[in-house]
Amino acid sequence: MFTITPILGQIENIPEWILFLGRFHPLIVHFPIGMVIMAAIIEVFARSPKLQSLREANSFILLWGALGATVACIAGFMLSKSGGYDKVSLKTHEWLGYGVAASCWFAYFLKRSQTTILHKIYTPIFTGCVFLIFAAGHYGGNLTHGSDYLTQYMPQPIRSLAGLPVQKKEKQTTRKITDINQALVFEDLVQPALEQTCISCHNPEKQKGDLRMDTPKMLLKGGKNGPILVAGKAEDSEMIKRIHLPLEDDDHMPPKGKTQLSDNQMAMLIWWINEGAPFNKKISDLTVSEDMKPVLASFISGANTENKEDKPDIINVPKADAKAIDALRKINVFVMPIAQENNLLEISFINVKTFTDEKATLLSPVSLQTIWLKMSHLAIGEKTITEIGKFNNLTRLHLEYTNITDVDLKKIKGLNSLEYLNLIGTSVSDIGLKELASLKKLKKLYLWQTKVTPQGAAELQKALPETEINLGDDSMSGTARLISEKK
Amino acid sequence: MNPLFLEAIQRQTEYMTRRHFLSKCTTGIGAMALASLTGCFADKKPSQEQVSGIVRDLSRPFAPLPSHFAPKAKRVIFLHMAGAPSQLELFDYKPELQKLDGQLCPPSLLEGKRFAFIKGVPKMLGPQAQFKQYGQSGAWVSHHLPEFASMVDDVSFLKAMHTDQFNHAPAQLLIQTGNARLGRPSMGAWVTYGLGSENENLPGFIVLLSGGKAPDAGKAGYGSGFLPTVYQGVECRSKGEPVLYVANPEGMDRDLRKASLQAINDINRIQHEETGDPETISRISQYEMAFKMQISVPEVMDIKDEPQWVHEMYGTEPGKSSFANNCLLARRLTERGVRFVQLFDWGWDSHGNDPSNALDKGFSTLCHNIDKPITALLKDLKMRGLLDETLVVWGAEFGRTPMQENREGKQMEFKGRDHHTEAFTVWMAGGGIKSGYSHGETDEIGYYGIKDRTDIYDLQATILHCLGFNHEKLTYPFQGRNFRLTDVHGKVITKILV
Repeated sequence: MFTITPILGQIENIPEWILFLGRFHPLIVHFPIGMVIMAAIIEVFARSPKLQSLREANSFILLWGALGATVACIAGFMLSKSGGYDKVSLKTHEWLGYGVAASCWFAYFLKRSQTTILHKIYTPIFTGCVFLIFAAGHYGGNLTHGSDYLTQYMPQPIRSLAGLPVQKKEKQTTRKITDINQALVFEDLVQPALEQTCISCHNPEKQKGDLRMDTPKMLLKGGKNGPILVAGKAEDSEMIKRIHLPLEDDDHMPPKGKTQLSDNQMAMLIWWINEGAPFNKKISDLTVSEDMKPVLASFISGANTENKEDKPDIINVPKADAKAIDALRKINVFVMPIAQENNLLEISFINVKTFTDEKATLLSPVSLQTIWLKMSHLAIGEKTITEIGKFNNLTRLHLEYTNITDVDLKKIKGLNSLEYLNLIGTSVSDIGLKELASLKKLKKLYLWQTKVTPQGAAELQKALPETEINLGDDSMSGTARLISEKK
Repeated sequence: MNPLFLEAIQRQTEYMTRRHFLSKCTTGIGAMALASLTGCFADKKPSQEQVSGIVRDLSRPFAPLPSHFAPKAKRVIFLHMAGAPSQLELFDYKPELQKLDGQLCPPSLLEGKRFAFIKGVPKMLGPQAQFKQYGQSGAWVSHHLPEFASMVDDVSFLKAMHTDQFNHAPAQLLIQTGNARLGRPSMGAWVTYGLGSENENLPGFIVLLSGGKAPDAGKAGYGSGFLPTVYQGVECRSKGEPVLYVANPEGMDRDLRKASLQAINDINRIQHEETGDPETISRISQYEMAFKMQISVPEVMDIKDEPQWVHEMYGTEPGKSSFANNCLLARRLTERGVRFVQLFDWGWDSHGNDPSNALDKGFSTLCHNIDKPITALLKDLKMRGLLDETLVVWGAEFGRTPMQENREGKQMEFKGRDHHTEAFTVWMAGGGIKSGYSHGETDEIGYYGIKDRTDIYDLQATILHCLGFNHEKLTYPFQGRNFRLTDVHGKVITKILV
């Protein structure tokens, strides 16, 4: 085994089968570990007279351990040729591994020999083998998972005992971005994205493709295929090309199965490189196109970034009482969560033919959860409108073709969240309309076929400049008479 | 004995006798063993329900269900101009093309392309319309749609749509079912399967046809595919009896009908307990729905009670079959909570082989026939406060070539264009869609989309998105895998969303 080292070492282009077999190293390596530890356990327990017979098995176990260690060494050597590991750690691990294999063979032959003197040195040799296997295992772990893998979540008291430095908390949690214009492009946007997806394989310890991405300097240096980014030209930058390759492509980064960059992160990286890949500039120092604005805004802390649709603006409310929902459904009311796994409710009386004011009490248990309510074409009494007035989270309210009056509007003027209010075909007039001036969030108000006059609507418009007030029009031309259109 | 009874007894015994039991056991277990060996059970992916935990009541297929996320639109009106109107005469203004009018088409635009009728080297054909910019958005609209031009600030245009089917039937199937071949559920079926319907007395998916001819894709364009058949589109006629064979025959009153349906449903329920076939449940609920529809459909389909000004606004004539009537019906149906209203209007196949479709002749009549109703529909929905929660889609299966058609290599009598897959225009309005926006651009002659190209699957993904669906998660297990409307494609066109 030692003799082939120099020969293989000189070969520049390593045959694929070597790399293929090398990848079996992590698979094989645990077998000799198990064997040696088993042998150690037997050595300890065989001291008791009851279990003495076990000792006979140990030479056999050691033989398999030695064979396993040898195969693991060969595979490990092959794996080391694929490159990308920290040289010092790799060498240490390699030689510790050879040590394990050698000492294991040695221990095996000592165990089998009949000479008493040789028997005496068996114990120290075997103990050495056990220590070597722990050391080799530890360094091997560092190579694949990084040197702080084991200690990352170590509680501080144990850390101090072990003599490790106090963990830097700042590195764990990236700085919160509140004002996107003041955010630092590299530190607040680029680096966290890289940390999330790239740095686990491109760091000082593990340098896949001889590339480190943990510092600006190393990013600019590039890897074995040269620089990975061309400032100002995202389309010529290797890292941008790689992240856009299909997931199935061997050259796609991050490799299939690892955490991938999100669409927004990708767009942000392209923008950053096209802006010259600056390392210490604020976003406000760079040009931000209209298309980029929503992308960058998604990085603000607390913004619903990815899969925006999966998380609608949920107001946290407790689940509505199932009995109350059943009671509503019994009188044919349509009650449904506004989305899956959401406690907010949509309620519609579309299938209800007859409704009496007494049934209004059925609504009170769901006043917190309901955000969309449709009670059009119903005879709504005082009790009902009072109930509706308690629906503080209501955003959409359909009361078209109901018998509500100006007086009733007083009861709903406290619905602060209301964005949509449909009052067409009711008897409300300019007088009642004044009550709605407190609905500051109102975006759409429908007043066709009411007694509201254009003057009354214009009056309300002054209080609610953002609201689109639609008076409709049933003149022959059919042109909708809009008081205000979005500018 | 009557052979029918013999067959019934035979079927009955199949569930009961020892002989059948034993034969089922042996062959059945063998088949199961084979299935598990071949891995048919192995990678059974969880269906939509299993993932989301929604409970589907088989006996109430239209029971409302929540979507994946809070929807912007609750229902859809899809205006499909079957035959494919020319985008170059309506929305995609190309002054450059006018300069090339009458010149031979350069070979680079023909090499490797397949057209339905163009042979040899056709001539370029300039726009057969005058264009103007309208509204604050400055959208180009031709003189063919003067009324619609006033609504451009309420819609979002998709100017660089493209498809990969150049014949009507496959292209219509692609846009309506997500596949150019038969057998997939249509968009309306997917939507009613996913959301159920608000109104329990009307079907969730209603289809209205006009133009004197059904779309080439036939009923498959609004079928249910492998979904339970209750979800297929119910075709309503705007002339005569709205739904055929729903009315009671002479001498049968509603109570007698109710009693007989009750008996049929009871027998079907027994059948379902024995066989467990979900189609039996479909049949029961279809009978129940048909019974409700005897009352609800004539009521909603009767437009006589609409005031005169509404008829003038839409250009409707009660009792006539027309696109205008269908637009008014679409409003009435959405008002009553019907989930998906699908309109097909035939006649837009402007080849120039016939004056009725020629761009310099009948095309302007066709446009005139839709201009008023579409505008009225948008305005009407808007002032009723319905446009906020209704998604209106106008489009066709493909577009038309910048070249003049030369069927069999000959100069045509009238001006017409061939089927074109590379670029066409679709517009959307309402729930969740930006107002007064235009997405995508075509090259200077309108041949290819050059910026923000969108395909059929993107359109479908966007429609589902507005309804609160992640198009990748609305799936149905069939033939061992989960199917979805957009198959493996589709990207939501986020730029046109509010």
